[in-house]
Order: sequence, then structure tokens, then C-alpha cells
Amino acid sequence: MSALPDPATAPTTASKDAGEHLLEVRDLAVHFALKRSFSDRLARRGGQVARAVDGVSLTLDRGELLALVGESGSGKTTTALAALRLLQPTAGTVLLEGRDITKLPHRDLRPLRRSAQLIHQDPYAALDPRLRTRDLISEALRIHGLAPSKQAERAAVNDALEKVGLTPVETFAERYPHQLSGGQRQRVAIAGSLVLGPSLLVADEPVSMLDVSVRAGILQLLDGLRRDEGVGILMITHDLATAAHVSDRVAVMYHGNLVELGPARTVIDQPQHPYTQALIYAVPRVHRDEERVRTLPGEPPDASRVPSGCRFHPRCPLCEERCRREVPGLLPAAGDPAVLVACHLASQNVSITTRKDP
Amino acid sequence: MKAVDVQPSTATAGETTRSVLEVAGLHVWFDAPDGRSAHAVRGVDLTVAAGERVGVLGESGCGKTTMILAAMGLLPSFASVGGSVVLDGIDVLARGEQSARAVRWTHAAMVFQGAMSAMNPVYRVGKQIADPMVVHGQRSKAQARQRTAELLELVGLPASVARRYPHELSGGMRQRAVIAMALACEPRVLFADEPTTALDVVVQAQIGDLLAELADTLGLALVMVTHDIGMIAETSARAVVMYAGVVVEDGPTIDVLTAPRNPYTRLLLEATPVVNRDRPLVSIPGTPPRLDEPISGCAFAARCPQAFDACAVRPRLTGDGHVAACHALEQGRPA
Amino acid sequence: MRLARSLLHRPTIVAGIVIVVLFTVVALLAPALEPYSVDRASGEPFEPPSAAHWLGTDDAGVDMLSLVIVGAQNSMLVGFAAAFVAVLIGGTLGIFAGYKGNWGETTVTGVTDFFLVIPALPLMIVLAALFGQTIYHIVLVIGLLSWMSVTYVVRAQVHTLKERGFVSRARSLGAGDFYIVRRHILPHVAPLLVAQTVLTVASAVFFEAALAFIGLGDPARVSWGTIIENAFLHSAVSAGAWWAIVPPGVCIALVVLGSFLVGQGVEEAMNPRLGSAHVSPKSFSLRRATAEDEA
Repeated sequence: MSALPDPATAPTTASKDAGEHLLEVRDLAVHFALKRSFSDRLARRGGQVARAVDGVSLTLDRGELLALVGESGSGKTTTALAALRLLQPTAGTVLLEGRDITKLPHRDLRPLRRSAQLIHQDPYAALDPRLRTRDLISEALRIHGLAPSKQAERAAVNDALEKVGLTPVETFAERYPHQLSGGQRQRVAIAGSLVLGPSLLVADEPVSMLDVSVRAGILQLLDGLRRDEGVGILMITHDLATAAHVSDRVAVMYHGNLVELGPARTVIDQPQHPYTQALIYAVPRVHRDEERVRTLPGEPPDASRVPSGCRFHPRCPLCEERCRREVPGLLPAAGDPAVLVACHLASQNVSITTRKDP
Repeated sequence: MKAVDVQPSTATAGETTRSVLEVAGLHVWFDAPDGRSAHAVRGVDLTVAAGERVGVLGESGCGKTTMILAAMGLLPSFASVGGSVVLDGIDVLARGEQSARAVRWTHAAMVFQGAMSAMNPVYRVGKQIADPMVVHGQRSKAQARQRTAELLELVGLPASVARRYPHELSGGMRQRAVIAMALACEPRVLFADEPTTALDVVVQAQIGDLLAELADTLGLALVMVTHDIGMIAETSARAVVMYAGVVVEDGPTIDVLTAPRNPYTRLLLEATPVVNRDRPLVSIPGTPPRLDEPISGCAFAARCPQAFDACAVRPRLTGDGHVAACHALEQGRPA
Repeated sequence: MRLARSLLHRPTIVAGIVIVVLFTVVALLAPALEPYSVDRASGEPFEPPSAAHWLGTDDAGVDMLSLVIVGAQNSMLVGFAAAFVAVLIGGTLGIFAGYKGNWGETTVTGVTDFFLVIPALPLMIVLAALFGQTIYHIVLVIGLLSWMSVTYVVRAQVHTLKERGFVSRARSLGAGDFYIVRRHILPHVAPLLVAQTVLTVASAVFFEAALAFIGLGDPARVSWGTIIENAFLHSAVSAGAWWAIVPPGVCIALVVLGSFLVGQGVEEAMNPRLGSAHVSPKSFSLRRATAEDEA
């Protein structure tokens, strides 16, 4: 994968030329106002704000699979939903196929759905149990008025079923969700989005609710879609191992910020940011290198309480004075400009296994 | 058909380590309202020694959760159970609910998936931990309070947690509190049903380590049910693999995960993504058999690359120390 | 489909369905079933039950059985019609409130609460006295005072439906609110609406009888309530003619019972978790494994 230009230093003219990204997110922020307590109202204090996403920039090209990795509370799901305008961004810009969709009015959002689709996390809940597979898949066509005739609709449905590997199509088209396994349901959900011919797919933890033995099949399907159909895929996951197997690039989020972004193999084999390192070391494995630090102190972050300076500093074993005061920018790493890291100590090639004395 | 007794390697010759849990010929059926019956556990033998850490591995529907629920007699009214479960010398299933109640919490306790549903939101955490001790007549209220403080320290929670309510704690802290609750009456066996699945990977690591540590310090037998191979690798000395209601492999974790003898285990390992991605991912074609229809022969045969005519008969566990149920293995057929 | 099948496996529900269906059929076929015409006397006043008159006769010598059958027609008609009105209003408001939320929901619940607080029977009396006592008025009055509980129940279910995965999926596909309500919410609320209709029939039949008993029923028609009213007016009690009072009362009780069984059954079928361990007094049973289990 070629190195990506740093969004922070990219030219500001929006371009519709060949270099245009499929999806471009710039300084995205999504804040939620929390309910004010009664004492807050009495004191006329403003309510607390949950800063779920606070300044995230990334790009995605056609035929690319970017894994957005993070734990719960990192803001990865919020980022993806905001990029699809299923949530309203508080600030920042979202460009889809060169078009600014950040402030589109509601009625213009429907045509947008044809280019960008979401694959939901829970295939058991995402399918209406009363509908047969063919109705579930053709639903999208009906909503957008894209099925002029019964034959056209059936052809589109069969085509989608073939693309996701549910053959023989006639058998699967007639089944109800309770007659399908988890993996098959997820394929139906994917087919239901594919009928619209989207150029961007956001997959929200597409395999986390499936049995291990079927995950590979779904991941291979997604991989195939981006190779054969040129679909750009933004995959949200908390599982680094899944990301390692199918993604081209990995973006790691912590507490509303991107902390590391780069080619998958590089980020996973040579993680630069302490949090990425901790994530990788925390993944359980059969053979463990005894010196590695298995866990991080502290608790996962709360979006309504943002620490000063680097958001990771309260849990970082390498925290220094500067980290408490200054927010680190997402900058190219010293050794490899293809990787962006947000850490003051990145240039020193530190590792959290090198314990510092308190 | 009894499984081979797995003895911890530290036992000296002539000394028999008493098994704290003996499951023999366990069958569980679930009756659906339309009269059909699902045979969820189809003859499971499992022996766990005191202080042993066992991981029960399998995918959804394999019967692992049902098995440990049966061991504590926690099955619903539409379930029927056959076989025997002897826990710390007590026959759990002899008189149904009555005999099961004798072992609950005092001899065996369970940590469930999703701690939020295990705790009562209207009572403080400290009270919920202390209650089992008082209810089972083990301690007075004052003594229970004292022990609660000890337990909280044992699971790595600050003493102030006792005065908090469940919703005030984070997911990881809640799970620790639930573990403390389970340990309240000093059980000999701790069952854990997917204790870390709903948690973040860093917190998962913390809880997994905590469980392993507690088992060692307190001499508890730990039976952890999970679909997460990595969790078993990190916390269990012994791995038991289940498929379609039966045990298909049982042995030391390191052997089962690096040199599996059963084709299902092997394929399952190949299907699991690993961070260092040293091999391509494989998926297992097909689906597990329906448990409401009779299964004859090996349940995995339909999906097994090594299936041959002998597989029409159900294979039994064979081997020494590391056992597996597979005809191809028995007959030395190549993988 | 599966819902229907699981319903048929529970004996109490089957009993309930049988009762309700039986009365409905009788109501529909009333003119063909009545052994005697209710417009003429066919026997002596207050004749006890006999071979000729299975349920005896009333104060005017009219056959009781015929009266009860014709009464079924009118009572069930009022029951179903009022239930229909109630569920139409309650269902629509419930779906609106549950789906829309915010101000729409607050307004609807406010209005619903207002109507709930009104004592139904006194209001029915006032309205019937003011506007007339034809069967249409009665249907309207009962319907307008029975929709409130339907609204709450439907609203609660729509709340949970709104959060379900397939609704957010439809939204992410680009569906608008009307489409989602029509295609995803309504089909899932339908069984509940059916159950509510049946339950409201029961209360409507009861209210109709209550109104008739105090003299506010439709004087031109025979219903179970008017039969009882008539019996009391003509001193059936002191005449010892229990057959003039008890049969319509038993019918009302049976219809109410049958509806409750059906309504409860539908709720249980829609919520299978009601059968599990900690909410059920029964525990697991022991069973012996056979040779074929070990195969």
C-alpha cells in the first residue's frame, strides 16, 4: 500500500480529480449533550458533554479495507455512524466521493444511502423475522424505487445472493431468518446492502457475534467484495486479530482520538503508540513471551471526562510531564512516514515493555 | 464409558487426588412446546481434580453451558437430565432441585456472562456479596461484612466498592464483584460461563488473569466455558473441546492447541484469527447438526474432511492423558 | 405462523378460543338457531326448563333459549364493534406515541391519562342519557371509553420494536418513518392488536350488560343485559325463576373468561421467557438415557 498523505498537511482545495478519496473525514467531532442534573439546572450550569469523537481525520479509497480498531468508549462506532450521516456530526467535514455530506438536509440523505451502506453487528437482530430472504434483500430496492418489475427485482435479488455465496439462490431466497445460521444471516444482510450497488460499506463488528468457524467465510466475502467489486470497506472491530487478517490499513482509536494509523502489517508487527502496544499484548495467545506486559492499569475511558493533554496519559506507563500538558498531534512516525502516531515519545521508539521506574 | 482421569502432574505415585467434580454419562434434553425435544448434552463424562483449571471450548450450541448449568442443577422446568453429577462428594441430581440446592454456592458457584444481569440493581454491592454467607448460615452479619472486605481485596477492588450500587461500577469492576460474590461461601469449584465475552480486550486479560490467580491461591477448581481459544490458552491448564453435545477432545491445553488430535479441534484452530497472521484463515463449511433430530454416528462427519465409513458409529474418547474421539485418529489415517 | 401453532399447544388457550369462537358463531347464526321467535310468547310466563323449553321462559312466556341466542347476536355485535372502535383509536395513538416519542408521545399519554381518570360507567350513563340509546350510540360510547389501555400496551411494544435491529437496518437502508411503521412495526404489533381486541370484546360485552341493566340499553333489541334487566323488572327473583337470570349471566361470564384465556395465551406465546426456571415453580425433571441415546 502506498503511503497516504497526512490529512493535516493536505492541500485544502477539494478536488474531484483522480486523486479523490472515496471517503474523507476531516477533524470530525461528535459530542453528545448529557442530561443535566437538577442541581446543575439550579446553578445554571451547562450540562456535561460526552465528547465521543474529538477530531478524527482519515481517508478511505475504493477497493481498500480500513480497520478502525478500538475498545468500547473509543468512539469508533460513533465515527463510522457519523461518516454515514446516521449520526449528526458536531463539527468537522465528511466527504463522500468528493461531495461534502456533512450538512446535507434530511431529505437529501436518502439518495446518499445508495452509495454508502452499513452492515450491522448483530445478524440475529438485523433481519425482520417475518420476512423471507428475498423480501429482506429487495427491501432496499423498494425503498428507493429501483425495482421497475418483478423480474428485475428477482434478478437483482438472485444476483446479490450469488455475490454473497448463498447458493442455490432459489432455496435461500425462500427461507426465513430462523431457518438460517448466523453466518448465513450476515450474508443476507450484506446482500441486502449490495443490491443498491454501494461504493462504500461500513461493517460494524461484522463477525463478533458469529461462531469462530464461520468468521473466516464472512471476512473472505468482504475481502472478495473489495477486490472484485472495488467497494471501499471501513471495518469497525475491537479484535486486532480480525483486523490483521483482512485489512490493508489499521486505524487505532482511543477515547475519541486516533492514536495510530498506518499499513496493517506495520501497525501490528511494530506498534509505535503505547496503547496499540498494550492492545496487541493483551490479545490472548497460545505461546506467550513472558516479558510482555499483559494488562494496562485503570479503566476504559469515560467520554464525559476528558483528561488534559494526551488522553491516554492516565494509563500510560511511559507518561511524562509533557504528556499531561500537551495534546500530541497525529504525525508521521520517525522511522516510517506511512505510519501516523499521536505520541510525544514516538520518535524515541519506546515500548511499554520497558518499564520505567516510578 | 468413563473418561480417563486426568491427574495433575504433581501427584506423587500412589497418591490419588480426589476429584472435586465427577460428571458421568450426562444427558440433557430440552422440551419445546410443540412436543419436540432437543438433545443438548448427549453423554458427557468429565472429571475435575481439586485445584485444576479446565477450559471447556466450543461454539454456540455445543452444550458446554448446558453442561455446567446441569452440574449446578440450574436447568429450567422444561429440561430433563440423565446421568450423574457428583460435586465434592454430593450427588447433585439425585433428588432434583432439592439435592442441587445443597451444593449451590457452598460447594460450587458460578460466574455468569454479563455481570450486570447477575447483580440486583437495588442493593449495594457489599450486601450482595455478604448475603450468601448469611443465608447459608456460615457467618453472622458482622463476620460477613469483614469477609466481604477481604474478598474485595482478593479480587482487586477498593473497599469503597462495598457501599456502591452495581450501576456505578464499570464492566470490569462489576465482573470482579460478581467473582467476589461467587467466592463468598468458599466453594471448591468455580464455574465461569463466558466471563469475559462482553468486556474489552484489556479488561478481558485482567479478569482472565484474576480467575487463574484465584484458582491457584485458593485451591479452587476452575471450570471455564468459552468459545475464545485465546482465553483458554492463557488461563487453563487443561482444555476440553465439545461439539454437538459431546466431548471430542480432552487434554493439557498446550497439547490440544498445538497438536490437536481431533479434526474439529484442528479446523477450529485454523479458523481462529491470530494477530501474527502466520497462516490463511479457514472456515468450516456446513453447520452443526440439529439437536432436535437424532444424530447417529459422529456428529462432525458431515463436515469432516477425514470422514469415512467407520464414522457412521459414534467414536469414543481414546488415548492417554490427551484423549480424542475420532475413528480416523484411531485407525491412524493421515490428516 | 409459528405463533399460531404454539398457541394451539396450550390447552387453556384452545379452551378460550373455542369459547369465543362458539359464541361468535352462535351470534352470527342466531336467526337460524333460535328454536322459537322472540317476538311471540310460546309458553306460560316463567315456565321452568323442560323438554320444550330448554331454559324455560321469561315473564312474557318467550323462550329463554331463543332470547339468549338472539341476545348473543346483539351482545357480541356490540362487543366486537366497540372493541374495533377502541382498538382502532388506541392502536393508532399507541403506535404514534411509541414511535414518535418526544412531544407527540407526551401529548398522547396526557390525553390518555385524562380519559383514564374519568369513571367510565358514570360517563357512559351520562352520554347515553344525553345522546340516546340506540345500539350505535352504545357502541360509540363504550368504544370511546375503552381505548386507553390499548394505547399504553401498544405504545410499550412499539418502544421495544423501535429499538430492534431490523428497524435500525431499515433506517440505514434509507427508509422513511411511514415505510418503517407499515412494513416493520405494524406486522409485529398485529398479534398484540388481535389480543387487545379480544380482551376489549370482553369488557365491552360486560359494559353493555351493565348499561342495559340500568335501563340504558337499546330498547328495540334483545341483548344479554336487557334480558337480565327485564327479569329483574318483572320480579323473576321473587318468582324463583332463576332460569330467567342465570343463563345470560353465565354467557357473559364465559365470554369474559374465554377472552382472557386467549389474551393471556397470546401474551405468553409472544413472550416465551415466561416459561423459564426462575419464574416457574417447577424444576427440571430426571430422565434415564436409553441405548439409542448413546448411539
